[in-house]
Amino acid sequence: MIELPQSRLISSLFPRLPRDSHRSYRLALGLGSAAIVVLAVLRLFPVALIAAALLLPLLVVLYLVDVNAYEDEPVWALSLTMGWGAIAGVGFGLLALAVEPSPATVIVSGTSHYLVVQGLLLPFCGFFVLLGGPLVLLRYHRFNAVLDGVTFGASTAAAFSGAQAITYSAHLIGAGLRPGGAVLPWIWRLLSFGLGMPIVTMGAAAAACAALWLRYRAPVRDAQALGTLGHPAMALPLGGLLVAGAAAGETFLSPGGWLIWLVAFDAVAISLLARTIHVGLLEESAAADAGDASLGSAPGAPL
Amino acid sequence: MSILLERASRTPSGGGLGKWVPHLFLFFFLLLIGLSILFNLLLAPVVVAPCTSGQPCGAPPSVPAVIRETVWRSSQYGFSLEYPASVVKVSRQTPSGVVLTVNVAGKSGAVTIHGFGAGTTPAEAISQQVGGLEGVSQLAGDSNPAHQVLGASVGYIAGAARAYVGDVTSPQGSQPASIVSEAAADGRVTVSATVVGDTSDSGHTSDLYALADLMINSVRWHG
Repeated sequence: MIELPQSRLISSLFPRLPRDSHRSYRLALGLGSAAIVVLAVLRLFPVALIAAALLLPLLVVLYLVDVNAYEDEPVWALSLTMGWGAIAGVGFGLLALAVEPSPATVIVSGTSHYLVVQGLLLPFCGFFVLLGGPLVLLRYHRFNAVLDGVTFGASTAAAFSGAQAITYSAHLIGAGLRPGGAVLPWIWRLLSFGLGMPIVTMGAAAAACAALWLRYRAPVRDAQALGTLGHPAMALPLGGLLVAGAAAGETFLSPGGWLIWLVAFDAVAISLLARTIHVGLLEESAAADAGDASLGSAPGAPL
Repeated sequence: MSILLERASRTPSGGGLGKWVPHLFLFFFLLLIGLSILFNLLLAPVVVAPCTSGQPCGAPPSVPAVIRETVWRSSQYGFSLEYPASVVKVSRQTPSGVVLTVNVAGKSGAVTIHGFGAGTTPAEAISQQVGGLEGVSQLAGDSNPAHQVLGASVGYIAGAARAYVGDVTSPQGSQPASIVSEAAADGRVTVSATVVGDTSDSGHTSDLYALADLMINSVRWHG
């Protein structure tokens, strides 16, 4: 996202990444975004949609391999994060298809018809369902650092968002390679589905998981480090509201307006996440030897 | 569940891929794009224009004819139309037009019929009506030859027609919608009719289009 400081975005979503790797990830994100725009300009909308849905999950997989996030337990840990996110995303995509109003209803009632169910209810519930996978990992002492929670939350949310977008748009994928449509609104939509919405979901899920890990896995002195906002009873509903609020904008804004709306929500989610990562890094540096302190890089001072 | 655990000190293992990340990302991303192009090509419907203008084409509509059905009349422009109340409901109406919701054999759609003053040409009426549709995004002309409207008319007066594609979007994704609009003028009033439906429920053989055709043909220009 151009409007978001990319270094803060990368360091927040991928907190275990060494600072000198940030540039590579920024470049990858930029190349992926450019490819989506090019595909849209060529009117290959179904392909662009798949590419948008897979952009962040692919980057997350590279990150997980890069930092060896799951150590020597990759299969089941990956199943409970990205696997669970993908299954939940497919489920919620099918659910959204089942409750979607027909084009006739939208013509008659307007897009406000979407607001309650698809704009608020499904994103809010989906957020809590996607946290189910990482919650299972909370039980395992092997993954006891706050940054583990951040990684699990972000990766599950990336897979959830991608799977949901592809499932819901399956009809479009069967409509041919170049089904027609106005290019510019399509570009805004694709950037919203590929970046705007997944980033706010990843940020909110990572922050919620970080709060859980901070509460139940961190030393007592760190458990209160984030104050009220870091308590799961506050952080989880706040994450759900962030995701639902971001999604609700689609129901009453133009495609370009929704993208701007999402950028604002992305900024809030990433700021929230940056605070928890800051605590997580302090926690790790306190636990590790002086030589281990280079593990990650702080996304910036807490707000 | 709050347990103070012994902290696990980890050796740094991050960043092993280093500068190869963009290369690896591009390789896998382009591979996925290539696979999705292949997938789309395999699933793409075969585009064959089934009819030519002025020639008989296909079987007659399968829906019952609109005979002595419910009448709706425009109090502003004086034109009227008939619709079968068993499968068509009036959803919204003004003195100049009406929005009808069609639900036939489990397929639904909307038919908007609107009157315009004599100064509005059929092409302008189509543009105004389609431009005013709520909830359809990414709207553009449909260049698919199989979707073009041949022999456009309203109430048996020849006019203009255009086919469009758009999307009905939600926060979860996009759903394609088909839009077809016809308009004609008798010198005193211009009447435009637009049909909107799921792409899968639309097309020249669909019940939705067949029923819409009958209603559009039923237009009486002066009551």
